[in-house]
Amino acid sequence: MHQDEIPPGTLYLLILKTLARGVELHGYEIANAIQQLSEDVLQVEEGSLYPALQRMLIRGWVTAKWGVTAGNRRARYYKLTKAGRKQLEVEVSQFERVMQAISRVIQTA
Amino acid sequence: MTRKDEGRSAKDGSGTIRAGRCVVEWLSQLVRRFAALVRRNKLNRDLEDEMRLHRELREQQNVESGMTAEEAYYAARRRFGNETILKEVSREMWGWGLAERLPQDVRYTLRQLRKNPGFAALAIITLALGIGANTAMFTVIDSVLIRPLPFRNANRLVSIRIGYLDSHFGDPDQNPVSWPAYRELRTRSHSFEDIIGISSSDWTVIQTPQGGQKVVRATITANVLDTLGIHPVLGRPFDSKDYQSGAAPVVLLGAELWRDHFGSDPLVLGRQVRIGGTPYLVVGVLPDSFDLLDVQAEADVTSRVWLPSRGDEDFELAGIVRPGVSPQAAQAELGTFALDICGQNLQCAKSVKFIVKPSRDVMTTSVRPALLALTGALFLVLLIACVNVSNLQLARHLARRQELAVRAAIGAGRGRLLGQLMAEGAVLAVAGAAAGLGFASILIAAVHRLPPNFIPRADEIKLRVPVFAMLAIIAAVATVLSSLAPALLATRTAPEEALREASGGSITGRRRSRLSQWMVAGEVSLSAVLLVSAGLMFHTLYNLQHIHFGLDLDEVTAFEVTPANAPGYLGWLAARKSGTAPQAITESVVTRVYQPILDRLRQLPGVVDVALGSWAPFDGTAGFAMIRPPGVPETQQHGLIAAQICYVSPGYARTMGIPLIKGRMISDQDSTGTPLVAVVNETLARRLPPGQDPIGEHIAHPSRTPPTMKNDYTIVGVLGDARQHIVTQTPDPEVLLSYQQVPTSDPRYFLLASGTNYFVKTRGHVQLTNAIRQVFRQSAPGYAVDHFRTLRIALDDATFNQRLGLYLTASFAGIAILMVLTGLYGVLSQLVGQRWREIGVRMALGATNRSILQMILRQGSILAVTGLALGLIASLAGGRLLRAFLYGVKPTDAWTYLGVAVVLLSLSIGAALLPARRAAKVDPMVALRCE
Repeated sequence: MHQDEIPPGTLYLLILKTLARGVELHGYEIANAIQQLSEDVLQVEEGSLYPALQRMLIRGWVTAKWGVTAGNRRARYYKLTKAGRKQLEVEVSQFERVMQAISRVIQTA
Repeated sequence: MTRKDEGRSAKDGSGTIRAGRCVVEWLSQLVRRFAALVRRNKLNRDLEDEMRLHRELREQQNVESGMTAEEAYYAARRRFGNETILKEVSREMWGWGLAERLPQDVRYTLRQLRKNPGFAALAIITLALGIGANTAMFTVIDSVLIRPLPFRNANRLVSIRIGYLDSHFGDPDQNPVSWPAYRELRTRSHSFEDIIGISSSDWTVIQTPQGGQKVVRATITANVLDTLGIHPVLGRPFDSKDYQSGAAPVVLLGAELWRDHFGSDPLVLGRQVRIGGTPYLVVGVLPDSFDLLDVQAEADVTSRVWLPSRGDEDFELAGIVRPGVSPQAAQAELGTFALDICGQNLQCAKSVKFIVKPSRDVMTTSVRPALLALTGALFLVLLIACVNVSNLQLARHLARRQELAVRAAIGAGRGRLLGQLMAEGAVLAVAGAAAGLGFASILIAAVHRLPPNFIPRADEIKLRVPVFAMLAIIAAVATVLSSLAPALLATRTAPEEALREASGGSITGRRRSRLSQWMVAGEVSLSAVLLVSAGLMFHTLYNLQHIHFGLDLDEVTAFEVTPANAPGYLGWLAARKSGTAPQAITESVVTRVYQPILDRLRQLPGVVDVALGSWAPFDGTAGFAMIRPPGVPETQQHGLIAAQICYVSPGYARTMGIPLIKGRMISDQDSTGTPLVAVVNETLARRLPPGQDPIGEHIAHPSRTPPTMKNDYTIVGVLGDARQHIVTQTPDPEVLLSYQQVPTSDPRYFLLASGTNYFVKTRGHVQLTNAIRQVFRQSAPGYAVDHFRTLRIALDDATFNQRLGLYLTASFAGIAILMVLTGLYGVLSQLVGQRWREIGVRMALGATNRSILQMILRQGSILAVTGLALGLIASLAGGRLLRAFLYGVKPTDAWTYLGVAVVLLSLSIGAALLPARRAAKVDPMVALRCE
């Protein structure tokens, strides 16, 4: 199974998108979700999720509350806020702009 | 901003909304961050819990996918990344990282330093010396050279000096100008807002409640107080009426005089005081800060009185230049008035020049080069101190290499480690700065104990806010200089390399340690130079204390007496100029006062003998005149002998302990009616025509005596030589004349009438000051009696420069030695740290403790000997520079050099011993197992 590191700067985008389905997830679930959604191509260095989540908490893009997992363990669940949803749009459009630019470069080269 | 506000502002336009939102967002972030700071511990726990859950879930999944428990555990950890760093990064997200980290680092540093009190003390003392000395120096520079003078428009205040190319007396560039010339310059010059004049200063005697007091007296032009913005601390300034000729005499007292001699009594206002025999009305007291224009007639007189000028004196000038006019431009403009101040005399106008410079610079010219040189030297000391502390730190970091590597391995980032090491440096620098501040205040106290007038503006020297700012800067610089390099080096090694103990130090490490070894050798040579100078100075001082002066130093007390109506120096100058006494004086002060008092002093208990003389030994002043020896015709100029002339009483030689070689001393019978007699010293006798008995020869004292007066003296005696004036020189030719044989019509009488020195020889040490003052109060009321000192003290004062030189070089040498000690210790410790493993190998291969000890000591000795050799060579080469300061010792004195060599070598060995013993104690098993 070949796995790619995620491009720098897109971690926020991936987390936001993952949470955008309206569900509340804890960190491990977010990591797994990213991996599954990308059909195992993208792999996050899992620990780096947590500093990113902290930053998003500060920015107010997500909120967190403690809950209990299916296995009956204490976990912190993250939920997208209105500001986070707006940020997702910003990140997506930014990402698309960059991707378009890059693919133009690749095609013409 | 509330939501409602936001809604309202939406109407104003989208820009406002965006800005408003930004602010709201920023504020709410701040609130969240602050909440996080408060709940810091919970936050950290939450983060840990969350991360643990993640790892465990992953581990569980790994097991489910078929791994062994162990594989699953490590796979989960690997996939998660470096947990410590991630935790730290997350924590720092909240933005309070530094606030959390700094106290932590400082606490950690304090713990570390407590474990190593020797290192801490050494580093702090080293830094304290460097920082303290520089702080003190900066205080002096700031107070003396930088701060504006305490006057209005001080930054535009310039001194105007007038030089004559053919001037022979005093400072050729500082000549007073007459009142008319002053008025001319003031009205015609356009460069100045105003020009002020203060008379060339003179001393006089003021009658205080405690009796006569010698003071410096100066008169000021009417615009001085306003222009400089000086307000009396008591009473009123002079008003315009006071400056008119013929007005009632008024005076402003100096604050010091008022405090010390009038008991700060406010009732002194409106009282009459007698100054130089004339009553003056006291109208006010001027602050002591008003101390412009070198008012220093007598070095030891610091009390002052100020009189309003009435246009009959000569002035020294200062001015306020107009805004935008440079001193140079003002000087050029004044140059065009040369003819006017010379009374249209072309010859004079050609030789005159104006010198316009900022007053502050003129006041401080004498000390500026010395202060700047000292600053340079002290900055060097600070640099050396920093280098030494840096060496000490590096040695310690080397010893802590393992610890640092472990920290890096378990997740400390390089920045974090660097920060921690720098925090250590900062703690040392702050402690050093605090200790340095104490050291600086001691130094400043020492500066205040220098003789008055030694440093201009000395009473303004104190610690001020800019000095503290400078101290902070110095401490920061010291931190960076002393800690950055070691910290960078210590944190650069990759952890695995250090853990594997790659030994030996990298190439750069070795290059650096070679550099610090050179540095230490340099420190040794610097202290060798300083120690040699200090040794020579000490030798000089010892010689000066034990010279045969041909005088009784300890048992003779000298003091000065000034008549209440002394005409002063200016009076004497005026008399000399006109060639006559201004007023007829019927009876000489000598027979009227001086002589009866001599007799009364002789009666005091404990007194062996009493005499008086116009000059006192070691005062640095003396009356020189040309003497015409027998056989030199009156018309001939060459062949005259420059000799010191001293008017004395008969007991002079006996009191001072000067032996009579031939003939007789001046006696009481040599008075006004009898033939003029002279007693000469041996040096002068040798200059007379050889082969003749000097007794009975005639010498003349031709200079400046009116032709009508007799000036033919018969030599009646020869005295032994006494070294009296410039202590380091052989005696000058000297002529003693009878104090009774100066007629009151002779201008030289003014010298005698302006004051005299008494010499009292006592049996052992007797405190006679009060008894003597009592005698004068009764027999010569109003006379100023002061400057009591034994000849020993006078000698000490005269050799003050040598002593100051000794103190300075000795303190620098002391600092240099301390630097050598810390330097050697630091470098060798560093060396031992680097060669740890090598030493282990050597020992494993059979080297004994002793041979290792010797190896390190040898390393230290090489540095010390190299430095010493360089230093001694430099001292030999530079020794001639010292020659002017030395007395009775050659700049190449072998004993001094030998002593310095022995002292420095033994100190160096001492400093090397500690690291050497540590090296000898290396356990080969431990050192090798570190691999």
